[in-house]
Amino acid sequence: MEKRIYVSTIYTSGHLQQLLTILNQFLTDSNATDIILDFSKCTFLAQNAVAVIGGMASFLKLHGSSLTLDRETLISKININLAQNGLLNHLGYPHTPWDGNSIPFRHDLFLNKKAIACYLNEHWLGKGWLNISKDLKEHIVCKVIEIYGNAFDHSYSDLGVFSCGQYYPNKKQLKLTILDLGVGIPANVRKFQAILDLPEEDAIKWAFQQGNSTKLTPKMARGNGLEIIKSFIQKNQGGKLEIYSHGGIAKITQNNDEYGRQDIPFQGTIVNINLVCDSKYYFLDSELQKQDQPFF
Amino acid sequence: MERKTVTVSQLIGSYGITLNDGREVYASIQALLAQGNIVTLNFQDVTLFASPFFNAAIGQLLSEFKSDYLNEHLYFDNLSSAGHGTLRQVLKNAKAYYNNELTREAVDRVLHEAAIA
Repeated sequence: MEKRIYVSTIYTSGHLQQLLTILNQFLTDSNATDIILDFSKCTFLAQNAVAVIGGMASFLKLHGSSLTLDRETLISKININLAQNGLLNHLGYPHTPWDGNSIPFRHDLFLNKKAIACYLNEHWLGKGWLNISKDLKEHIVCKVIEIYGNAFDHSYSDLGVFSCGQYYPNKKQLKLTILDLGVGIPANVRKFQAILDLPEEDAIKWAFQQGNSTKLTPKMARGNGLEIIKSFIQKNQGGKLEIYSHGGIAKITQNNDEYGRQDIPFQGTIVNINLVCDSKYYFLDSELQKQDQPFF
Repeated sequence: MERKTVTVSQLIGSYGITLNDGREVYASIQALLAQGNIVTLNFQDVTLFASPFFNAAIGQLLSEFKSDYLNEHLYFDNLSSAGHGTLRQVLKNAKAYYNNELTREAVDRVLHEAAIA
């Protein structure tokens, strides 16, 4: 059975929710369905949608179904962008991605340190569109790699991790979406705390607190990753971190952190990072600290 | 007591990210510290750091050695600003963890229950 889904123009996470809602109905349906995406109502496709479409295609393939694009309905600039960033190649179309101004779509089945570091350094941050120092670049990559580490460590997904970035020159914003289709933060926290009805917002808030981890290792403190990213966003201007995970939502900005739930949960975890592309908005940790202060 | 230098990139390459990366480093310095040596970890050519690496490499040393001892016996060379920031955050969390007996006991109890389940 085939089902046609109309993809609307997707700029923000709010727009993406419409697509996720429709896709979720098929993902939770036991009867496998082949999906055709129709873009006749779509004039822009942000990086979050690209990552989701790539992830959904892998999910459906694993379950014996397929996801295809009705390319007749794609406007030229989206068609070129999807060819260039590698999504079409991922979906099985005979297009080899090429290096250009779009930030590539990426699918990793394991934490390929070298390749992901290269992706973040060269393709995401390294296109010359950022007015940032080498030092700041390293800080940003170190924070983002925490997210990849978390996804591989906690999602328990055989499908790996999907990511895609986008640069918005007018707003001087750089965005990255990292997606997994695993068990999600609320389920991990509920299992760890043995509270099966723990609300999503409480679970996701718990995961952000320093020292909280659902992974225990003998003689070892853990639970730094999300707190480190949150702290980076909150010490600098204009950045934003959003996490959507199986009904739980976290939105972190410099002046605010809020945790909530969404009525129609997405069966996976989406992390969106927005950064402003200018050094003047950043204040690095090391500048706050005396280098000669004892470590221990 | 001797001065020993451990070059991190020779153990793990350019990326200190995972627990396993950290365990490699921990395994190479734990005994040196236990013997009373002064150890310098040289991070030349290590360009990427994440908290699991530092938790395993450095944080867990606090389970065996006092803070004062580590301040006098373990030094870091060529650690980038980003690595410096992540290490400090990891150690802040590790100190809270190791100073909190209730937390450690709770972790040990859960691990023990998981092991015998």
